[in-house]
Amino acid sequence: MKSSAAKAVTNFRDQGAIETWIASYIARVIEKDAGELDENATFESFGLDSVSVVGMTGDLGQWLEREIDPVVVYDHPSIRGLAAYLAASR
Amino acid sequence: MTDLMVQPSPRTAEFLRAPTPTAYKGASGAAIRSHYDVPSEFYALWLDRNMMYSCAMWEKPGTLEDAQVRKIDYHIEQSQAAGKARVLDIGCGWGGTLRRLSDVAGIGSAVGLTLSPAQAAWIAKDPRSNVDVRVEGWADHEPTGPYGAIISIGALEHFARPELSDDDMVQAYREFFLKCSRWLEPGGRLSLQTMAYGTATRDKINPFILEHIFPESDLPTLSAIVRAFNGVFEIERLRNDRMDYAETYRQYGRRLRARRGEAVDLVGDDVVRRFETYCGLFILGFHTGAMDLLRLTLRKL
Repeated sequence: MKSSAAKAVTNFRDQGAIETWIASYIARVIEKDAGELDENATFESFGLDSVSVVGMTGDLGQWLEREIDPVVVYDHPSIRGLAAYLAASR
Repeated sequence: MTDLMVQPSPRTAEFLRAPTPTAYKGASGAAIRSHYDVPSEFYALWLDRNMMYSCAMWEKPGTLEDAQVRKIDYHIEQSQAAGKARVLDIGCGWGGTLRRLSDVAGIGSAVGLTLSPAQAAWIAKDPRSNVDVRVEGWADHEPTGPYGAIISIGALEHFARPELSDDDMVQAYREFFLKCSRWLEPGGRLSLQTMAYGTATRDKINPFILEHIFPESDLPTLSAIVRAFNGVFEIERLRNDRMDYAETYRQYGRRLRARRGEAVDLVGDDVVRRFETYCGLFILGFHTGAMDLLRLTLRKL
């Protein structure tokens, strides 16, 4: 129990950190500068296809060390919305 | 490393050359092998104990294995296979349905068809005396007698190719239904399970799936299936259980993640990634309704 509690603390990422991670990921995929991305725009408007969505949720899940169902991207379709949901639901 | 990409098969080349193609007979052995002949040990890492590689039934909470057995029993019930002298399983995979038929359904004998020698070899490791597995397609099958029931789970997806016109797809499916009808005893039933296009159309499906996961295969639409069996079978029951498949792929993805290291040792990182992407895409596809999961109970007319 002790070790899992310690793990939870070390893996804590707040909404801001998650937003930064997602923006950097998308910036790499669409070859733009992360700073140019509107955090309230939909993932679809960035031209992300379903393979990219699946890749992003997979990598994000590895980084956060938790399972992230790719369908949450459809329920929370912006950088800010997804980060807020993930920060709140951990 | 096993390559999921496929070489053009002689049958495909022959089909493309034919000036007036006869009805398409389904994906070539090479195409089926490219997907299913990744070593069976790889699938064994993340499928359930019965090696069922098709949509389970999640009517209540439980394990993947529970939900897969519930699915098999559903098809045994719908096809009324219990107690029948002869039962056919078209696209028998690693034999989960055949073993269940033999072990609990009180059948005389069962015949299973697969295009994958690896699957047939796997089944032979845990044989049943009244089960006969053949590495052949439905188009080449010559039964030695009539069947009392036919089950086909996750095979129809491989019967049509992306290049076929809608009418040619219907014709390919119709050939299949005509054969099934001819092989069945009067009033016999075919219990069929297949993925289908939902709100998506061919051009909207991510090319990754058709190129890497199911080469030479295309999904049916419900309307194409209905046109194809019209006048050959009557429909007794139709279910769209797409959420069952989203959950099944969630389980697949989770189980593959849990055994990832062993999976990479067996087939390499590229193949594991391909399967991870495919599981994620299918979770999305079934969750959003882009794809459906159809279960049809058909009675011979």
